[in-house]
Amino acid sequence: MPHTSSSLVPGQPLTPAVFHILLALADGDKHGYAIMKDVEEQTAGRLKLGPGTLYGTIKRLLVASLIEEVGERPDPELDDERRRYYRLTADGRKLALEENQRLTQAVKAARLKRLSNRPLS
Amino acid sequence: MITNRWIVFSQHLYRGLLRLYPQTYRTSYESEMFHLFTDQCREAYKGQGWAGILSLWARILIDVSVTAIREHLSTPRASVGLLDIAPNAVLPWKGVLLVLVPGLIFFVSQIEQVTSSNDWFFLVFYRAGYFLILPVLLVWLLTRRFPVWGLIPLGLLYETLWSYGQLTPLSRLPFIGRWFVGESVNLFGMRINTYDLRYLLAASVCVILLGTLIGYNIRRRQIPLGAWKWLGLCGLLIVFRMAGEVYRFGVLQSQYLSPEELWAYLFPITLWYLYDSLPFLVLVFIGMLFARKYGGFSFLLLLGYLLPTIIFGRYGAWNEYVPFYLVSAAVLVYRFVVALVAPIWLVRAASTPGRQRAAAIPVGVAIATHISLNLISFLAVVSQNNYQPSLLDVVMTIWNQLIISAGLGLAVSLYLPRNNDRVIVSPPDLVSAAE
Repeated sequence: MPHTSSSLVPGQPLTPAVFHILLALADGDKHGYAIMKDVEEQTAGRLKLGPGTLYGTIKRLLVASLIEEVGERPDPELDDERRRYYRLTADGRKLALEENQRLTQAVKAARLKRLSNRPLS
Repeated sequence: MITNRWIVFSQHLYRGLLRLYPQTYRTSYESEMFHLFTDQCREAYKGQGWAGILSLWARILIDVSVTAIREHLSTPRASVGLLDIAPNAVLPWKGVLLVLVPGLIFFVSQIEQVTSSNDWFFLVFYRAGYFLILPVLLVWLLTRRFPVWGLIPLGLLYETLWSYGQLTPLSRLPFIGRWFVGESVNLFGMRINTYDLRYLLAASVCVILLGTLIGYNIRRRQIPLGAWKWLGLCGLLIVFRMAGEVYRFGVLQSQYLSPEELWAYLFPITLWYLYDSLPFLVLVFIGMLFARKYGGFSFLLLLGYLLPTIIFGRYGAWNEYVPFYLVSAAVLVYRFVVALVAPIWLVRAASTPGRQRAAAIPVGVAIATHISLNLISFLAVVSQNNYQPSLLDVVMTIWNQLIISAGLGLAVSLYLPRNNDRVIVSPPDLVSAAE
């Protein structure tokens, strides 16, 4: 997998922005504003991506072939402006799954050490 | 769709801020970022009115500041000038501005020093050497690339550490300082003050370092014939300086000291002049480590070394003997050509001959200014003290400037080979490790 950015180092945890953007695209193609809104919902408003952070991360994910552009079209729910849509690639989905496993493992370890209110399932 | 003056004003402002990003990045994402920002503005205004817009701007300013710098550092074409240079091309103006920062600080503070009663001496001469290197080290750490605009601060730091080094007694050194607490030691049959042993140590370090660097470059056949001639001239000038100073002091003191005392007196003087003459040559060869990447731009390292060479202000000791306006004019000319003219000319010259001229002419003017000032000051001082100077006294006063001039000739022949535009050195360990 071609990882070229310092925020996408193989074997290292993903940054919150990278992980949540991959997560936002897991259930379908989205344009920038929709990705930003999805990330806000995922994190209950704790992670608000600015345009620079969002498109800087998108640029790196494109270079690493973790997402791809799938053309421009208007979003019927917003306005008639054409917006560029992005899609998760197979590599991106695999990386998001690996990160999810890592986080799940970390949560499991936290519960074992009684650092979580929820019981171990 | 909500649109009002808050949103329209914010759009205008944000469009202006987008210019801070690299051109290549803007071509791909400017329109998308502008649309996203507009969507965020409308949402913020819909939720909290103008307070929502202000809150959004607080986040946007941080976002733009961080990401614009990140994109400049990570976009290959945008980093030309900021971190890298295009081979055999002029440096873009954004890089020129960064190269000029140390010189501007020195030049402006020099004007301040000669026009007001504030003493900027320590700030400019010593402290600048330390704080100007900090952003360079930070960028080097973050990007693992040594920026081209870091060469002048590196030369300045080298000069500052060397200047401080000669003031430091060995007894203050950590771990080994306790061995040099005694007043004198027996060395080569002479009683030498431990305070003077620092010159022996420093001169030995310089000789070993210089020999290692020259040997490194000889093994890689990176020293052209022309450079050997300059190196030989440097060696001769250094030997003559040491011999000349020993002769001067020897003649002066021979009538008061016994032969044993005279040698003990002259020994540290010899070492001091060796130590005083070698660091510039060492720096010239350190510059070779950067020459593969920077070519002729490595000369900036030497400009950093020369930057603090003349610092005189309104209340300097020289003003007791030489008219203030003369000192000020000489110092400002020196500072102007070393700090401002030479760096711009060097990095904007489009060819090797142009860079050779850019390296030689401004620095030549600066050295001539320095020599003139030293000479005038010396003659003024001796005339005030009714001392009749010999020709040797006059020559030795300016001799170190001749060594530096020969060192600069050596640097030009090493960094700026006459016959081709290609850089002549192979990948040095230091730079390739940094890459």
